[in-house]
Amino acid sequence: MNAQQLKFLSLAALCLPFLVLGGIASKETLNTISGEVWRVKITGYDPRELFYGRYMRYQINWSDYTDKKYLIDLSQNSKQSLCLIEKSNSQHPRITDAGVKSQDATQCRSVLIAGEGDKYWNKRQRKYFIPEQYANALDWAFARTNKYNFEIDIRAHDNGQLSIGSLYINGQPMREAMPALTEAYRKDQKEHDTPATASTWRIKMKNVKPVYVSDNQNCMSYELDWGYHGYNTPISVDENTPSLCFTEKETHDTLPSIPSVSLKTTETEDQCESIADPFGWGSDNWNTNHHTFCRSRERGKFMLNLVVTQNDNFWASVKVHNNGTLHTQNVFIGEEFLHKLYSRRNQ
Amino acid sequence: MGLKRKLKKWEDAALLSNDQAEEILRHEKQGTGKTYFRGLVGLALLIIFGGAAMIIESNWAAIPGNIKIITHFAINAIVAYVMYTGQQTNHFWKREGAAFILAGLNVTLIALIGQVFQLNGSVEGLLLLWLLITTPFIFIFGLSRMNAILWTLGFIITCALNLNDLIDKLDFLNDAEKLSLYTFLGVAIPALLLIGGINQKLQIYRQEWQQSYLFSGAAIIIAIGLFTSLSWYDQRLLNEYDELKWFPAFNAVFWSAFFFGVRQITESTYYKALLLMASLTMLFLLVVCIPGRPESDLMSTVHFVIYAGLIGYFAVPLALPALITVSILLITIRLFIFYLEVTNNMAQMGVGMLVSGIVLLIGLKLSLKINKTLKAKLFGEGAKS
Repeated sequence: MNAQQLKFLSLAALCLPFLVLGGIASKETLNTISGEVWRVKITGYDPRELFYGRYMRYQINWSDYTDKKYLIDLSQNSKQSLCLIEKSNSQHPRITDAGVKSQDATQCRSVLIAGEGDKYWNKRQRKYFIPEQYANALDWAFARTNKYNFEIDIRAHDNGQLSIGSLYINGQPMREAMPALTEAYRKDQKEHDTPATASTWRIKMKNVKPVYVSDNQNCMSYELDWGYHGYNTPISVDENTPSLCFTEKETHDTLPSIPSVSLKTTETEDQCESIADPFGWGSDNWNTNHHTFCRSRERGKFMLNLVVTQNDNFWASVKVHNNGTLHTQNVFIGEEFLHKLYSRRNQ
Repeated sequence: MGLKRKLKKWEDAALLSNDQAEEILRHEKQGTGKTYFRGLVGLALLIIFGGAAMIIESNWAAIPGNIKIITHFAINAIVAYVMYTGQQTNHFWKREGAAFILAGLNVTLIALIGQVFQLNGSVEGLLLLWLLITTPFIFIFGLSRMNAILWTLGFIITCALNLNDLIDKLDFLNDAEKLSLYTFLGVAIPALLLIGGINQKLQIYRQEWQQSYLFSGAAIIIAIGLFTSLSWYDQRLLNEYDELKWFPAFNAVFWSAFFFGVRQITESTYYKALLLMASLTMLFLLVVCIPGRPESDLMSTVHFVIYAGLIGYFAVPLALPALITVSILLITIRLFIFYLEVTNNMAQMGVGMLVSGIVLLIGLKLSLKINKTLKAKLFGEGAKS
């Protein structure tokens, strides 16, 4: 190889990364200014990646935009194309049809096709990269679906693919929403860090069922019977789920009080002795459908025996924290602690 | 003890002449000065980069995405220019350092583009793109060991992360066929590195790359050989191949024959030894195919110890005495693990640790002895004293 050839090869090798990465960046820049913009709701959680940094793992709630939930296959394996038309005065789309063919698509404002990869609507788990300094506050807010509504812009292109645009929190662009959100996060953390002013209540349990875990570990699953305490609305996990207000109904000298539970409103807030919030994630919320309570070895077996013989007599000692979370500390059978019953049996 | 005093001592013992001692001192003085100077320049650059990185980091979220990307491209261009001029002026460190930095900057630029445009990229995709765009320039500009190791590591990690993913996408293959392809290509990667490493042209034009290929290829082959011993813990492994139960045997024999065949047409005794070791290692893969093979801690240990012994044996033809130490260390550790597997209380474990420690000391003593004999054999009688 002569010097001229080497020089040519060196320059070509040098230019390759610039051409490839420049090409990708240009194409993606074009994508951000072309196509029809739609705004869609998202839900998810927030992990971290080694190279790319913090991101939110989310999925687009397509089902919120159609009345034909049962006709449209919204799964990852869907082969259908979606027809999007605009809702009046809104950037939110309305999905009118699925399985549209390109020649029938004239009534659609945008058509999104299914496929494998992030450019297709049927991709379930997506990532949205977020700045490191906002990550903790966003992580906190993302889990509070009743307070914070997350949306993203998508751009629907002529080829049926989509690209992802800006993130919105309660309708505000992320950058504008962040100062208030960060402040709310800090306030919450401060409350969280202050010594707990939790109150303990005795709550009736229902649907108590044995759950086999291992030879050494026995658990039971149960629900908290809010209806027994006066709150009869079915449990939901969405932005409309309210917080619950606890007031004392029945006191006892040695046991926690039984509360009266009602909907928390701005009028009743001051009278509440405890407030339980519905954060939508994890098991520390009043609206969690199924809780579990486990005990190991002989104590666990004893507990499961009682599940069979005294199923209707289970009560939970529930600690409601000042940050709105709650957790079951212990279990009563009638008015007797589970562990005391167990000790007595062994005497 | 200072160098001056050491030289004086050697001079008194008639190991060095006065001229030689002075020459060594002069040489070291020059070298030390340069090293300190380079070290301080490096430290200053590190502080500057650190400061710049902190300023950028503190305002990162406030910087618009396109500005970040354009700035990154500009930095890459500057480094590429330095690398190119380094090559034209034959400035070794300018060229090598810039090639190393540019390779790293390519990773961060790909990640940045993915971040800004929300491309949902995976780590394996990032590395694959990095390898494709970085290989040509790093091969042309990077002659040093530093760059050779960087590329080889990048290549191995990219292959490891992407292989499963790429094979999984071949929808026309069933699970057994995918597993077969995976195990076949799993050996093909170190084979490729070894064949690259014994290539004459590479040896002439890119000696550091050749060394890096040989070392990493051999290391993976040895890792495969040691890892195969774990097959003794699962007798159902062969069932995973379903209707292709013949494949593991074919895979082992094919690669063994391949390495042996290449060995036959290679002239260098060093490469012959290396290829023989690879060929024998492949035969250890046959363990998966033994019919009615029991699940056995003992057999796994025996397999491991025999293979580690084989590595030690190749210390002589490969002229690598350190392999004996490695071999003895591996055997001791494996024996200790076996002891832990068969015992379960603290007292027995304590005895096991005592015995293992003694075995290790005896082994190391033995390895020192073998090392001396080996060096004498390799480098002549003088090395024995």
